[in-house]
Amino acid sequence: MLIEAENLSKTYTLRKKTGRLKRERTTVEAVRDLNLSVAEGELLGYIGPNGAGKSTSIKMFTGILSPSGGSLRVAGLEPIRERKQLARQIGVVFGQRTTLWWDLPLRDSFALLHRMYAIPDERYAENLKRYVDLLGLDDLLDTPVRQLSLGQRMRGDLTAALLHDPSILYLDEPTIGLDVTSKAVVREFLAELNRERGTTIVLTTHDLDDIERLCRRVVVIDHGTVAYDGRLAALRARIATDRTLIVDLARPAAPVEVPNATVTRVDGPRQWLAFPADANAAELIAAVASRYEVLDVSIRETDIEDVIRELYSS
Amino acid sequence: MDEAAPKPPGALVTYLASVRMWSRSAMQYRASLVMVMVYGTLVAGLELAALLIVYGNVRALGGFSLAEALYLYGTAQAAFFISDLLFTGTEYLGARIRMGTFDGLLVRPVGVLPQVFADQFTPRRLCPLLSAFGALVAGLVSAPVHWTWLRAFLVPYTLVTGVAVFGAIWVFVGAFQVVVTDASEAMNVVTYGGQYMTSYPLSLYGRNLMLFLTFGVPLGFVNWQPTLYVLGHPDPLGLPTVFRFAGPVFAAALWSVALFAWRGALRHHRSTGS
Repeated sequence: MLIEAENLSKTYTLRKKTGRLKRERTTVEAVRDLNLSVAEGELLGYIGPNGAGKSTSIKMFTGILSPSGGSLRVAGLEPIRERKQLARQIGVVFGQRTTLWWDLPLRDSFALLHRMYAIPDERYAENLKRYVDLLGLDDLLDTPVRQLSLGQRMRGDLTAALLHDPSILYLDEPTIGLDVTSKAVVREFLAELNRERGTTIVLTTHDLDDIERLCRRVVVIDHGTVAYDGRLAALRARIATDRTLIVDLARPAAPVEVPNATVTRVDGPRQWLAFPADANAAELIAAVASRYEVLDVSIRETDIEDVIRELYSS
Repeated sequence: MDEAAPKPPGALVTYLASVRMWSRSAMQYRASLVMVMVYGTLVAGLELAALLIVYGNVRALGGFSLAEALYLYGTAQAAFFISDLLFTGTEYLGARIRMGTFDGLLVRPVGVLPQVFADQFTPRRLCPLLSAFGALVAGLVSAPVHWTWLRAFLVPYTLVTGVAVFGAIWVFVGAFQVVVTDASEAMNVVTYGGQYMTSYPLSLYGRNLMLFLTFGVPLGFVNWQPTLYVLGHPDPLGLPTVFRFAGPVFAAALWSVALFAWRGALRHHRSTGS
């Protein structure tokens, strides 16, 4: 196991000003009894609402924060005590906070990492060429980072995080704010990295497209602990969310009455009918059309966002 | 990664590599850098002029003639601004923590403190050194010193000790900012305040403050104690002669407390994340 967390917890003490001099102490359990094992070569979607404990736990995995309880080993190391050794095994990309040198060409940031990580020259040259080709950075190596677009900078950050061949790559919102093309490039790159090099990837994101396209396994964090851990398909099935049939009738009518469906919303001639995910949509449409004059129909599939929202609220 | 892989660099190489990156960043704005450097040199010169104006009106301050005061001023300024050049990156730590970019330094396989020392390094910090060394040399040439090998040796000894004492204070500045991230100004009392106090004879400040500046915050060892020996002045506090040379002992003690505070601050950061 590359990441092994057992009953991991993190408690913060906050001091809130309650009077001129008085401070009230409150403890916040950001992470509690979190159990997680990640094997080599996994591509893990690590999701959850804001403040659920995602970043706190990732910061513990990367040796930035010390756990308040439980045990944690990453790549066989104890993150805080063996921070420097661990740093050579991991790559980290913090979405909006670049670690590149703002005023200097990309090339210079890479050269500094070459030194800091003591990457053997040959391997450095090989990796640099590989990632620059894959991510289309050839023409940008001599451009100061401040002149790069968000997408170009993200590709630069990805390269920077990978030059030393980490066995685990942590990504925090790698596609946030990127245009469609850049998103596609980044996703394809991550999939290939995981497939070809076997790099383990822990992906934190709010973009559920990222998850749907990349992750076989999803871990949902809520209230500081694991709310779901398993395959994406199983997550969808577990929360049996209805699909929705939207019908535009010729004229406004009382809520439609058909078997296996219930009207959830009426707006003039338009009605929303919820029906079970495993029911036959064609039969339902036929049933509605046989009783009413229908101008148009459309079906909204349950998307992962609904599934997650459902999971959080339950 | 295999075991035989070369080791990441130590503190000095990490520091120098970071300094190089920051300097090159500053060089990207050459015209602005040149202007700021001219300005910085002039301002430092004006401060020195103020000292000369004071001595236009009095013959001696705290028992120090103009030449002696120039030497004392020069050593304080040189020690402070060399420490400023080398270590002042700790001042930016609070801002880094607030923006969340400090974490980026923690995930590198190298020491944190060397990266922090080098933060925002700019050649601009060389400017005040011109007037500092100008005053130091002018003072040395014109003061009536009975030169011996020991006295000559004490001049660089004073500077190294002074840089070390101020350097330890910069480490405290860093540690303090990790814990109180929005109070970078508060530490100015000790840093810039210390620079100011050591620039004039400590005998101006009265016995109690002198005692505090010797044994409390050991600023007296930046330049005051060794300078008393170089210039052949008695110690107004009447401390034994050995104290003129004791600077490195106090500097080393201050560094060990500072590094202890720094480690405590890192532990605090690790437990709170802010």
